[in-house]
Amino acid sequence: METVTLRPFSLADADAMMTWASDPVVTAFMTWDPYTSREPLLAFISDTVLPHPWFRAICLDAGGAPVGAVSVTPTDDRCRAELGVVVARAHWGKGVATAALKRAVAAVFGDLDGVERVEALVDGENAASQRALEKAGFTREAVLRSYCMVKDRLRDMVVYSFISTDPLVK
Amino acid sequence: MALQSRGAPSAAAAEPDEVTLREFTASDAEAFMSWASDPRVARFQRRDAFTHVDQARRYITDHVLPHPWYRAICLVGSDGVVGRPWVGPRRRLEAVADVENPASQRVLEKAGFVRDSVLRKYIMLKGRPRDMVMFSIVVHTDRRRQQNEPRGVRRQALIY
Repeated sequence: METVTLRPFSLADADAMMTWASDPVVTAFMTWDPYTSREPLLAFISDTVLPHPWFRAICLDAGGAPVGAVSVTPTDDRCRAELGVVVARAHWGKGVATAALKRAVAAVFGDLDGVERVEALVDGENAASQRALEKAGFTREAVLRSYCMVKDRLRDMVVYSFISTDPLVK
Repeated sequence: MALQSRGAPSAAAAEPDEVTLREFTASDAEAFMSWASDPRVARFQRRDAFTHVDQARRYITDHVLPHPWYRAICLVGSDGVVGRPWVGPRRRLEAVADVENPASQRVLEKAGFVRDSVLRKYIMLKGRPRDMVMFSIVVHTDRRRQQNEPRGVRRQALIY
């Protein structure tokens, strides 16, 4: 099982981010399409990542380049925030996402005032992400049928949640 | 529940045979107050009960009239308004009801919604996070209730 650290992003991380953001296998379950050039990714980092209330780079060692990202975005309901996680394909199958999720839920309730529920919506066919969430202590709550369109296809989404009072998994 | 909050004993005791839906107008403000000012109805709403009809007028003008699909529930044989659902023609219709609001949960089940699950601490209601029961109807899979053709994907209603 990998150990990871989480840190804020900077513009200098753009090349590392491009590794996963341009990979169509990584983005298969995402609502967004893979990036094909650097400028839109720099704009994404400037406009969305840097001002974001909680957007972290996943690093395998403290000084290293990021291998993925985890974000927790507050919603209009102050108690509820949505989590997203992405890991570069070269680091799949090693528990990186699971470790990042454990770190995220250990930190985020202290960082985001008023948030008591972190939820993740996962594609019904994304078994790997579902396993990572379960190992990190998330509760599978429901399957939401025909919930949203992802890349022009109607998808069932599974809702996972972690409540501020849930026990942290070591 | 809008029907029960109307106040007339006969309306509360017996289920009406039929209701009709129509668009709201600004002149419905007083009728709107009949449920919007009732603290029993407002108990499971995000907003507090209205205290003045001007609040209802403003809400109708700012929120109801521009809304893509917001209908007044009228009892057959009367033109007066007794309540208001808001739904939209979509593939998936979902509704959430507070876990402590079994009356609204029964309304949804009777209307053909399927109970999905309890979502913990899902919505803030009057300053406290509430567990909510999620219900859904998926057009073409569940029994259809809508007359209109579905457009778009998902619409959520908060059932009081």
